[in-house]
Amino acid sequence: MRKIIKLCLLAAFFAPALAPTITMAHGPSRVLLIEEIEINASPEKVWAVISDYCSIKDWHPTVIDCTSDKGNEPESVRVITLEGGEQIREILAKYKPDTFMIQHYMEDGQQLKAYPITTHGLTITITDNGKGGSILKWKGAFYRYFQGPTPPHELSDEYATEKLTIFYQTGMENIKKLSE
Amino acid sequence: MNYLLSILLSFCVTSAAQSATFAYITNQVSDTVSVIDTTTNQVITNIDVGHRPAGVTASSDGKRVYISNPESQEISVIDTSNNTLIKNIKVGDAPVGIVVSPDGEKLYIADWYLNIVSIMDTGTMKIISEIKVGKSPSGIAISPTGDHLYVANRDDHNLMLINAETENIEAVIPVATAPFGVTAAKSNNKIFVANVRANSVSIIDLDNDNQVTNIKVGGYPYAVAHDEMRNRIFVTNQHDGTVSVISLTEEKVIKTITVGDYPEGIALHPSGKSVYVTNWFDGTVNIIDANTLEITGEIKTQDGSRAFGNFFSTH
Repeated sequence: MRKIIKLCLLAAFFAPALAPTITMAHGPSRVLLIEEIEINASPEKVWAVISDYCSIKDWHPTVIDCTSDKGNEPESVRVITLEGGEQIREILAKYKPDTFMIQHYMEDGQQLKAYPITTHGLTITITDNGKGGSILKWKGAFYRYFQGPTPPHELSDEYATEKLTIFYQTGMENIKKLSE
Repeated sequence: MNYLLSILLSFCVTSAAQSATFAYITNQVSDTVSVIDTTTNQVITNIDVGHRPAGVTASSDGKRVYISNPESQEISVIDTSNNTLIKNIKVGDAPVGIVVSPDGEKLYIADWYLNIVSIMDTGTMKIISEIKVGKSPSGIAISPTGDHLYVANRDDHNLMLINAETENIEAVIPVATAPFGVTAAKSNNKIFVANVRANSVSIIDLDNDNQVTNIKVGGYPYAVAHDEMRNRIFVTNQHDGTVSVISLTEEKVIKTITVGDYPEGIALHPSGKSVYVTNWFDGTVNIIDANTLEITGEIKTQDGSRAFGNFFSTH
Protein backbone atom coordinates (compact mmCIF):
# COMPACT_ATOMS: atom_id res chain seq x y z
CA MET A 1 0.00 0.00 0.00
CA ARG A 2 2.74 2.42 0.98
CA LYS A 3 4.48 1.61 -2.23
CA ILE A 4 1.39 2.51 -4.22
CA ILE A 5 0.98 5.82 -2.40
CA LYS A 6 4.61 6.57 -3.06
CA LEU A 7 4.11 5.76 -6.70
CA CYS A 8 1.03 7.95 -6.88
CA LEU A 9 2.87 10.85 -5.26
CA LEU A 10 5.69 10.39 -7.68
CA ALA A 11 3.28 10.31 -10.60
CA ALA A 12 1.51 13.44 -9.33
CA PHE A 13 4.85 15.16 -9.03
CA PHE A 14 5.78 14.42 -12.62
CA ALA A 15 2.34 14.83 -14.13
CA PRO A 16 2.64 18.55 -14.90
CA ALA A 17 5.82 17.85 -16.86
CA LEU A 18 4.08 15.12 -18.84
CA ALA A 19 1.10 17.24 -19.79
CA PRO A 20 1.51 18.73 -23.25
CA THR A 21 2.49 22.36 -23.00
CA ILE A 22 0.02 24.25 -25.11
CA THR A 23 1.51 27.66 -25.48
CA MET A 24 0.24 30.57 -27.51
CA ALA A 25 3.61 32.29 -27.59
CA HIS A 26 5.61 32.31 -30.79
CA GLY A 27 8.68 33.83 -32.41
CA PRO A 28 8.80 37.57 -33.09
CA SER A 29 8.40 37.56 -36.85
CA ARG A 30 6.17 35.81 -39.31
CA VAL A 31 7.65 34.01 -42.32
CA LEU A 32 6.25 34.23 -45.86
CA LEU A 33 6.13 31.35 -48.34
CA ILE A 34 5.12 31.63 -51.97
CA GLU A 35 4.95 28.76 -54.47
CA GLU A 36 3.55 28.85 -57.99
CA ILE A 37 2.98 26.23 -60.63
CA GLU A 38 1.65 26.43 -64.16
CA ILE A 39 -1.09 23.96 -65.06
CA ASN A 40 -2.30 23.05 -68.55
CA ALA A 41 -5.96 23.12 -67.57
CA SER A 42 -8.50 25.89 -67.18
CA PRO A 43 -8.97 27.56 -63.79
CA GLU A 44 -12.45 25.96 -63.63
CA LYS A 45 -10.92 22.51 -64.00
CA VAL A 46 -8.28 23.12 -61.36
CA TRP A 47 -10.88 24.59 -59.01
CA ALA A 48 -13.02 21.50 -59.44
CA VAL A 49 -10.17 19.41 -58.03
CA ILE A 50 -9.62 21.50 -54.90
CA SER A 51 -12.93 23.28 -54.37
CA ASP A 52 -14.15 21.05 -51.59
CA TYR A 53 -12.52 22.10 -48.31
CA CYS A 54 -11.82 18.50 -47.37
CA SER A 55 -10.69 17.38 -50.83
CA ILE A 56 -7.10 17.80 -49.57
CA LYS A 57 -7.24 14.15 -48.50
CA ASP A 58 -7.80 13.21 -52.17
CA TRP A 59 -5.14 15.39 -53.75
CA HIS A 60 -2.40 15.78 -51.16
CA PRO A 61 -0.17 12.70 -51.10
CA THR A 62 0.79 13.12 -47.43
CA VAL A 63 -2.69 13.87 -46.08
CA ILE A 64 -4.46 10.62 -45.32
CA ASP A 65 -7.75 11.86 -43.91
CA CYS A 66 -9.92 14.93 -43.51
CA THR A 67 -13.18 15.64 -41.75
CA SER A 68 -14.94 18.98 -41.45
CA ASP A 69 -17.80 20.23 -39.31
CA LYS A 70 -19.41 22.64 -41.77
CA GLY A 71 -18.10 21.70 -45.22
CA ASN A 72 -17.39 24.83 -47.27
CA GLU A 73 -19.33 27.14 -44.95
CA PRO A 74 -17.55 30.11 -43.34
CA GLU A 75 -15.50 29.14 -40.27
CA SER A 76 -15.81 25.46 -41.06
CA VAL A 77 -13.15 23.58 -39.11
CA ARG A 78 -11.41 20.70 -40.86
CA VAL A 79 -9.20 18.18 -39.14
CA ILE A 80 -6.56 16.80 -41.46
CA THR A 81 -4.53 13.72 -40.62
CA LEU A 82 -0.98 13.57 -41.86
CA GLU A 83 0.98 10.45 -42.64
CA GLY A 84 2.23 9.35 -39.24
CA GLY A 85 -1.07 10.25 -37.61
CA GLU A 86 -0.57 13.86 -36.54
CA GLN A 87 -3.73 15.94 -36.85
CA ILE A 88 -4.07 19.63 -37.67
CA ARG A 89 -7.19 21.72 -37.11
CA GLU A 90 -7.75 24.44 -39.70
CA ILE A 91 -10.44 27.13 -39.96
CA LEU A 92 -11.87 28.18 -43.31
CA ALA A 93 -11.50 31.96 -43.51
CA LYS A 94 -12.35 32.86 -47.10
CA TYR A 95 -14.04 30.74 -49.75
CA LYS A 96 -14.62 32.36 -53.14
CA PRO A 97 -15.71 30.00 -55.93
CA ASP A 98 -16.22 32.99 -58.28
CA THR A 99 -12.59 34.02 -58.13
CA PHE A 100 -11.14 30.55 -57.37
CA MET A 101 -9.75 31.49 -53.99
CA ILE A 102 -9.64 29.66 -50.68
CA GLN A 103 -7.99 30.77 -47.44
CA HIS A 104 -7.60 28.93 -44.18
CA TYR A 105 -5.75 29.21 -40.87
CA MET A 106 -4.47 26.76 -38.34
CA GLU A 107 -6.57 26.92 -35.20
CA ASP A 108 -4.92 28.49 -32.13
CA GLY A 109 -3.07 26.51 -29.50
CA GLN A 110 -1.48 23.84 -31.70
CA GLN A 111 2.20 23.08 -31.72
CA LEU A 112 3.03 20.68 -34.54
CA LYS A 113 5.54 17.85 -34.61
CA ALA A 114 5.79 17.47 -38.38
CA TYR A 115 6.52 21.18 -38.79
CA PRO A 116 8.04 23.31 -35.99
CA ILE A 117 5.30 25.92 -36.21
CA THR A 118 2.43 27.19 -34.09
CA THR A 119 0.55 29.30 -36.64
CA HIS A 120 -0.02 28.82 -40.34
CA GLY A 121 -2.26 30.57 -42.83
CA LEU A 122 -2.58 29.62 -46.48
CA THR A 123 -4.22 31.40 -49.40
CA ILE A 124 -4.70 29.37 -52.56
CA THR A 125 -5.55 31.16 -55.81
CA ILE A 126 -6.04 29.98 -59.37
CA THR A 127 -5.68 32.52 -62.16
CA ASP A 128 -5.87 32.38 -65.94
CA ASN A 129 -2.38 32.22 -67.47
CA GLY A 130 -3.59 33.77 -70.74
CA LYS A 131 -2.67 30.65 -72.71
CA GLY A 132 -5.68 28.53 -71.91
CA GLY A 133 -4.14 27.22 -68.72
CA SER A 134 -3.83 28.32 -65.10
CA ILE A 135 -1.40 29.52 -62.50
CA LEU A 136 -1.89 27.86 -59.16
CA LYS A 137 -0.45 29.95 -56.37
CA TRP A 138 0.00 29.06 -52.71
CA LYS A 139 0.83 31.93 -50.44
CA GLY A 140 1.39 30.99 -46.84
CA ALA A 141 2.72 32.41 -43.62
CA PHE A 142 3.73 30.92 -40.31
CA TYR A 143 5.28 31.65 -36.94
CA ARG A 144 7.74 29.17 -35.44
CA TYR A 145 6.99 28.10 -31.87
CA PHE A 146 10.55 28.16 -30.63
CA GLN A 147 11.10 31.08 -28.27
CA GLY A 148 14.53 32.67 -28.27
CA PRO A 149 16.96 34.17 -30.73
CA THR A 150 18.93 31.00 -31.48
CA PRO A 151 16.64 28.07 -32.32
CA PRO A 152 18.23 24.69 -33.02
CA HIS A 153 18.12 23.88 -36.74
CA GLU A 154 15.13 21.52 -36.51
CA LEU A 155 13.07 24.23 -34.77
CA SER A 156 14.22 27.14 -36.93
CA ASP A 157 12.34 29.26 -39.47
CA GLU A 158 14.67 27.93 -42.17
CA TYR A 159 13.88 24.31 -41.40
CA ALA A 160 10.13 24.99 -41.18
CA THR A 161 10.34 26.80 -44.51
CA GLU A 162 12.15 23.85 -46.08
CA LYS A 163 9.62 21.30 -44.78
CA LEU A 164 6.54 23.38 -45.59
CA THR A 165 7.84 24.14 -49.08
CA ILE A 166 8.01 20.41 -49.70
CA PHE A 167 4.45 20.07 -48.37
CA TYR A 168 3.28 22.85 -50.71
CA GLN A 169 5.11 21.50 -53.75
CA THR A 170 3.92 17.91 -53.29
CA GLY A 171 0.33 19.11 -53.05
CA MET A 172 0.61 21.45 -56.00
CA GLU A 173 2.26 18.92 -58.27
CA ASN A 174 -0.49 16.44 -57.57
CA ILE A 175 -3.21 19.05 -58.19
CA LYS A 176 -1.50 19.66 -61.56
CA LYS A 177 -1.50 15.94 -62.32
CA LEU A 178 -5.16 15.53 -61.40
CA SER A 179 -6.24 18.61 -63.37
CA GLU A 180 -4.37 17.98 -66.61
CA MET B 1 16.17 92.90 -62.12
CA ASN B 2 17.22 92.96 -58.50
CA TYR B 3 13.58 92.89 -57.56
CA LEU B 4 12.92 89.80 -59.70
CA LEU B 5 16.00 88.11 -58.33
CA SER B 6 14.93 88.73 -54.79
CA ILE B 7 11.49 87.28 -55.50
CA LEU B 8 13.10 84.24 -57.07
CA LEU B 9 15.48 83.88 -54.14
CA SER B 10 12.73 84.14 -51.57
CA PHE B 11 10.76 81.57 -53.54
CA CYS B 12 13.74 79.21 -53.52
CA VAL B 13 14.28 79.66 -49.79
CA THR B 14 10.62 79.01 -49.01
CA SER B 15 10.57 75.89 -51.17
CA ALA B 16 13.71 74.55 -49.56
CA ALA B 17 12.34 75.20 -46.11
CA GLN B 18 8.99 73.65 -46.91
CA SER B 19 8.73 70.26 -45.34
CA ALA B 20 7.14 67.10 -46.62
CA THR B 21 5.92 64.01 -44.87
CA PHE B 22 7.41 60.59 -45.56
CA ALA B 23 6.27 57.12 -44.51
CA TYR B 24 8.99 54.67 -43.45
CA ILE B 25 7.62 51.17 -44.07
CA THR B 26 9.50 48.16 -42.70
CA ASN B 27 9.41 45.20 -45.10
CA GLN B 28 9.92 42.16 -42.96
CA VAL B 29 10.51 39.62 -45.71
CA SER B 30 12.79 41.89 -47.75
CA ASP B 31 14.94 43.25 -44.90
CA THR B 32 14.34 46.79 -46.15
CA VAL B 33 12.54 50.02 -45.34
CA SER B 34 10.54 51.61 -48.16
CA VAL B 35 10.41 55.41 -47.99
CA ILE B 36 7.18 56.85 -49.39
CA ASP B 37 6.92 60.53 -50.24
CA THR B 38 3.32 61.16 -49.22
CA THR B 39 2.94 64.19 -51.50
CA THR B 40 3.34 61.95 -54.56
CA ASN B 41 2.68 58.62 -52.85
CA GLN B 42 5.67 57.11 -54.60
CA VAL B 43 8.39 54.99 -53.04
CA ILE B 44 11.50 57.14 -53.40
CA THR B 45 14.00 54.63 -52.05
CA ASN B 46 14.41 51.31 -50.26
CA ILE B 47 16.95 51.21 -47.46
CA ASP B 48 18.67 47.97 -46.40
CA VAL B 49 18.38 47.50 -42.64
CA GLY B 50 18.75 44.49 -40.30
CA HIS B 51 17.03 41.08 -40.47
CA ARG B 52 13.20 41.01 -40.49
CA PRO B 53 12.58 44.66 -39.62
CA ALA B 54 9.35 45.21 -37.68
CA GLY B 55 9.06 48.30 -35.48
CA VAL B 56 9.47 51.91 -36.50
CA THR B 57 9.51 55.30 -34.78
CA ALA B 58 10.50 58.79 -35.93
CA SER B 59 12.08 61.59 -33.91
CA SER B 60 9.82 64.62 -33.67
CA ASP B 61 12.44 66.91 -35.22
CA GLY B 62 12.24 64.71 -38.32
CA LYS B 63 15.96 64.00 -38.42
CA ARG B 64 16.02 60.34 -37.53
CA VAL B 65 13.99 57.18 -37.95
CA TYR B 66 14.64 54.10 -35.82
CA ILE B 67 13.85 50.55 -36.90
CA SER B 68 13.74 47.37 -34.79
CA ASN B 69 15.02 44.10 -36.27
CA PRO B 70 13.93 41.24 -33.99
CA GLU B 71 15.73 38.47 -35.89
CA SER B 72 19.13 40.17 -36.03
CA GLN B 73 18.67 41.79 -32.60
CA GLU B 74 19.44 45.25 -33.90
CA ILE B 75 18.15 48.79 -33.98
CA SER B 76 18.77 50.50 -37.31
CA VAL B 77 19.27 54.26 -37.20
CA ILE B 78 18.31 56.12 -40.38
CA ASP B 79 19.40 59.64 -41.30
CA THR B 80 16.33 61.12 -42.96
CA SER B 81 18.24 63.95 -44.69
CA ASN B 82 19.62 61.49 -47.23
CA ASN B 83 17.71 58.33 -46.26
CA THR B 84 20.79 56.32 -45.44
CA LEU B 85 21.54 53.91 -42.67
CA ILE B 86 23.76 55.49 -40.01
CA LYS B 87 24.27 52.35 -37.98
CA ASN B 88 22.87 48.99 -36.87
CA ILE B 89 23.17 48.62 -33.09
CA LYS B 90 22.99 45.25 -31.33
CA VAL B 91 20.25 45.28 -28.66
CA GLY B 92 18.90 42.42 -26.53
CA ASP B 93 17.28 39.26 -27.88
CA ALA B 94 14.29 40.45 -29.94
CA PRO B 95 13.53 44.16 -30.14
CA VAL B 96 9.95 44.63 -31.42
CA GLY B 97 7.96 47.72 -30.39
CA ILE B 98 9.96 50.95 -30.24
CA VAL B 99 9.18 54.57 -29.45
CA VAL B 100 11.35 57.66 -29.25
CA SER B 101 10.82 60.26 -26.50
CA PRO B 102 9.28 63.59 -27.60
CA ASP B 103 12.61 65.38 -26.95
CA GLY B 104 14.34 62.78 -29.14
CA GLU B 105 16.90 61.87 -26.47
CA LYS B 106 15.75 58.40 -25.57
CA LEU B 107 14.64 55.36 -27.51
CA TYR B 108 12.46 52.87 -25.65
CA ILE B 109 12.69 49.29 -26.92
CA ALA B 110 10.34 46.44 -25.97
CA ASP B 111 12.20 43.12 -26.02
CA TRP B 112 9.94 40.18 -26.85
CA TYR B 113 12.18 37.53 -25.25
CA LEU B 114 13.94 39.34 -22.42
CA ASN B 115 10.68 40.81 -21.04
CA ILE B 116 12.25 44.20 -20.59
CA VAL B 117 12.08 47.68 -22.01
CA SER B 118 15.59 48.86 -22.84
CA ILE B 119 16.35 52.56 -22.88
CA MET B 120 18.87 53.80 -25.41
CA ASP B 121 20.58 57.18 -25.30
CA THR B 122 20.11 58.32 -28.90
CA GLY B 123 23.22 60.52 -28.68
CA THR B 124 25.71 57.86 -27.62
CA MET B 125 23.54 55.04 -29.09
CA LYS B 126 24.18 53.01 -25.93
CA ILE B 127 21.70 51.27 -23.63
CA ILE B 128 21.55 53.25 -20.40
CA SER B 129 18.83 51.42 -18.50
CA GLU B 130 16.40 48.49 -18.48
CA ILE B 131 12.92 48.17 -17.02
CA LYS B 132 11.57 44.73 -16.16
CA VAL B 133 8.07 44.38 -17.62
CA GLY B 134 5.66 41.48 -18.27
CA LYS B 135 5.76 38.54 -20.70
CA SER B 136 6.37 39.18 -24.40
CA PRO B 137 6.20 42.96 -24.43
CA SER B 138 5.24 44.04 -27.94
CA GLY B 139 3.64 47.43 -28.52
CA ILE B 140 4.93 50.52 -26.76
CA ALA B 141 3.68 54.10 -26.76
CA ILE B 142 4.61 57.29 -24.94
CA SER B 143 2.51 60.14 -23.59
CA PRO B 144 2.79 63.44 -25.53
CA THR B 145 4.80 64.98 -22.69
CA GLY B 146 7.08 61.97 -22.50
CA ASP B 147 6.42 61.32 -18.83
CA HIS B 148 4.68 57.97 -19.21
CA LEU B 149 5.23 54.81 -21.20
CA TYR B 150 2.54 52.30 -22.08
CA VAL B 151 3.62 48.73 -22.78
CA ALA B 152 1.45 45.83 -23.95
CA ASN B 153 2.56 42.53 -22.43
CA ARG B 154 1.18 40.13 -25.00
CA ASP B 155 1.40 36.91 -23.01
CA ASP B 156 0.35 38.49 -19.70
CA HIS B 157 -2.71 40.07 -21.34
CA ASN B 158 -2.17 43.45 -19.75
CA LEU B 159 -1.01 46.99 -20.33
CA MET B 160 1.69 48.49 -18.10
CA LEU B 161 1.79 52.13 -17.24
CA ILE B 162 5.38 53.18 -16.49
CA ASN B 163 6.68 56.44 -15.12
CA ALA B 164 9.36 57.33 -17.65
CA GLU B 165 11.37 59.41 -15.21
CA THR B 166 11.47 57.09 -12.19
CA GLU B 167 11.08 53.97 -14.36
CA ASN B 168 8.56 52.66 -11.83
CA ILE B 169 5.56 50.65 -12.90
CA GLU B 170 2.57 52.67 -11.78
CA ALA B 171 -0.24 50.41 -12.94
CA VAL B 172 -0.86 47.03 -14.53
CA ILE B 173 -4.15 47.09 -16.36
CA PRO B 174 -5.69 43.79 -17.51
CA VAL B 175 -7.08 44.13 -21.04
CA ALA B 176 -7.94 41.01 -23.10
CA THR B 177 -6.09 38.06 -24.67
CA ALA B 178 -2.81 38.94 -26.40
CA PRO B 179 -2.61 42.74 -26.54
CA PHE B 180 -0.22 43.87 -29.26
CA GLY B 181 -0.32 47.36 -30.79
CA VAL B 182 -0.61 50.36 -28.43
CA THR B 183 -1.46 53.93 -29.38
CA ALA B 184 -1.70 56.88 -27.02
CA ALA B 185 -4.02 59.80 -27.72
CA LYS B 186 -2.29 63.14 -28.11
CA SER B 187 -4.75 65.46 -26.43
CA ASN B 188 -6.32 63.37 -23.70
CA ASN B 189 -5.44 60.48 -21.44
CA LYS B 190 -6.79 57.63 -23.53
CA ILE B 191 -4.85 54.57 -24.63
CA PHE B 192 -5.90 52.16 -27.38
CA VAL B 193 -4.78 48.53 -27.46
CA ALA B 194 -5.45 45.87 -30.11
CA ASN B 195 -6.02 42.43 -28.56
CA VAL B 196 -4.93 39.88 -31.17
CA ARG B 197 -6.57 36.75 -29.77
CA ALA B 198 -9.65 38.40 -28.35
CA ASN B 199 -10.68 40.09 -31.61
CA SER B 200 -11.20 43.28 -29.66
CA VAL B 201 -9.75 46.68 -29.02
CA SER B 202 -9.43 48.09 -25.50
CA ILE B 203 -9.96 51.76 -24.81
CA ILE B 204 -8.36 52.73 -21.52
CA ASP B 205 -9.34 55.95 -19.83
CA LEU B 206 -6.47 56.98 -17.57
CA ASP B 207 -8.50 59.88 -16.16
CA ASN B 208 -11.25 57.57 -15.05
CA ASP B 209 -9.64 54.94 -12.82
CA ASN B 210 -7.99 53.26 -15.82
CA GLN B 211 -11.39 52.05 -16.89
CA VAL B 212 -11.27 49.60 -19.79
CA THR B 213 -13.89 49.48 -22.53
CA ASN B 214 -13.59 46.57 -24.96
CA ILE B 215 -15.07 46.74 -28.43
CA LYS B 216 -15.28 43.76 -30.78
CA VAL B 217 -13.52 44.20 -34.11
CA GLY B 218 -12.39 41.71 -36.81
CA GLY B 219 -10.04 38.70 -36.76
CA TYR B 220 -6.62 39.12 -35.15
CA PRO B 221 -6.52 42.89 -34.66
CA TYR B 222 -2.96 44.18 -34.74
CA ALA B 223 -2.60 47.94 -34.30
CA VAL B 224 -4.59 51.15 -33.87
CA ALA B 225 -4.51 54.64 -35.42
CA HIS B 226 -6.25 57.52 -33.70
CA ASP B 227 -8.05 60.33 -35.53
CA GLU B 228 -8.43 62.94 -32.78
CA MET B 229 -10.28 65.42 -34.96
CA ARG B 230 -13.12 63.05 -35.82
CA ASN B 231 -12.93 61.12 -32.55
CA ARG B 232 -12.38 57.80 -34.27
CA ILE B 233 -9.93 54.94 -34.19
CA PHE B 234 -8.86 52.62 -37.01
CA VAL B 235 -7.92 49.02 -36.24
CA THR B 236 -6.17 46.58 -38.62
CA ASN B 237 -7.66 43.06 -38.64
CA GLN B 238 -4.92 40.73 -39.87
CA HIS B 239 -7.03 37.67 -40.62
CA ASP B 240 -9.94 39.49 -42.26
CA GLY B 241 -7.93 41.84 -44.45
CA THR B 242 -9.97 44.74 -43.12
CA VAL B 243 -9.77 47.91 -41.06
CA SER B 244 -12.47 48.53 -38.44
CA VAL B 245 -13.40 52.17 -37.95
CA ILE B 246 -14.74 52.91 -34.47
CA SER B 247 -16.54 56.03 -33.40
CA LEU B 248 -15.34 56.79 -29.88
CA THR B 249 -18.47 58.82 -29.19
CA GLU B 250 -20.74 55.92 -30.02
CA GLU B 251 -18.22 53.28 -28.88
CA LYS B 252 -19.03 51.08 -31.85
CA VAL B 253 -17.74 50.02 -35.26
CA ILE B 254 -19.16 52.39 -37.86
CA LYS B 255 -17.45 50.91 -40.89
CA THR B 256 -15.33 47.94 -41.94
CA ILE B 257 -13.03 48.72 -44.86
CA THR B 258 -11.54 45.98 -47.03
CA VAL B 259 -7.80 46.49 -47.50
CA GLY B 260 -5.00 44.10 -48.56
CA ASP B 261 -4.10 40.79 -46.91
CA TYR B 262 -2.69 40.71 -43.36
CA PRO B 263 -2.96 44.43 -42.65
CA GLU B 264 -0.63 45.32 -39.79
CA GLY B 265 0.92 48.74 -39.20
CA ILE B 266 -1.47 51.68 -39.35
CA ALA B 267 -1.03 55.42 -38.71
CA LEU B 268 -2.82 58.69 -39.22
CA HIS B 269 -1.05 61.02 -41.63
CA PRO B 270 0.11 64.19 -39.78
CA SER B 271 -2.21 66.23 -42.04
CA GLY B 272 -5.13 64.41 -40.43
CA LYS B 273 -6.57 63.75 -43.87
CA SER B 274 -5.67 60.12 -44.42
CA VAL B 275 -4.74 56.86 -42.77
CA TYR B 276 -1.99 54.62 -44.16
CA VAL B 277 -2.22 50.84 -43.72
CA THR B 278 0.52 48.32 -44.47
CA ASN B 279 -0.44 44.90 -45.87
CA TRP B 280 2.09 42.27 -44.82
CA PHE B 281 0.95 39.51 -47.17
CA ASP B 282 0.74 41.75 -50.25
CA GLY B 283 3.72 44.02 -49.70
CA THR B 284 1.55 47.08 -50.21
CA VAL B 285 0.26 50.17 -48.44
CA ASN B 286 -3.36 51.30 -48.69
CA ILE B 287 -4.43 54.89 -48.19
CA ILE B 288 -7.80 55.55 -46.57
CA ASP B 289 -9.46 58.96 -46.75
CA ALA B 290 -10.05 59.81 -43.08
CA ASN B 291 -13.18 61.75 -43.94
CA THR B 292 -14.99 59.59 -46.50
CA LEU B 293 -13.47 56.33 -45.18
CA GLU B 294 -12.87 55.19 -48.77
CA ILE B 295 -9.65 53.68 -50.12
CA THR B 296 -7.94 56.30 -52.26
CA GLY B 297 -4.72 54.58 -53.17
CA GLU B 298 -2.43 51.59 -53.11
CA ILE B 299 1.36 51.78 -53.10
CA LYS B 300 3.58 48.79 -53.89
CA THR B 301 6.27 48.46 -51.24
CA GLN B 302 8.21 45.21 -50.75
CA ASP B 303 7.41 41.80 -49.26
CA GLY B 304 6.24 41.63 -45.67
CA SER B 305 5.31 45.28 -45.06
CA ARG B 306 4.76 45.58 -41.33
CA ALA B 307 5.58 49.11 -40.12
CA PHE B 308 4.71 48.53 -36.47
CA GLY B 309 4.62 52.00 -34.88
CA ASN B 310 4.15 55.59 -35.97
CA PHE B 311 5.95 55.45 -39.30
CA PHE B 312 5.48 59.07 -40.44
CA SER B 313 8.33 61.56 -40.41
CA THR B 314 8.01 65.21 -41.46
CA HIS B 315 11.16 66.97 -42.53
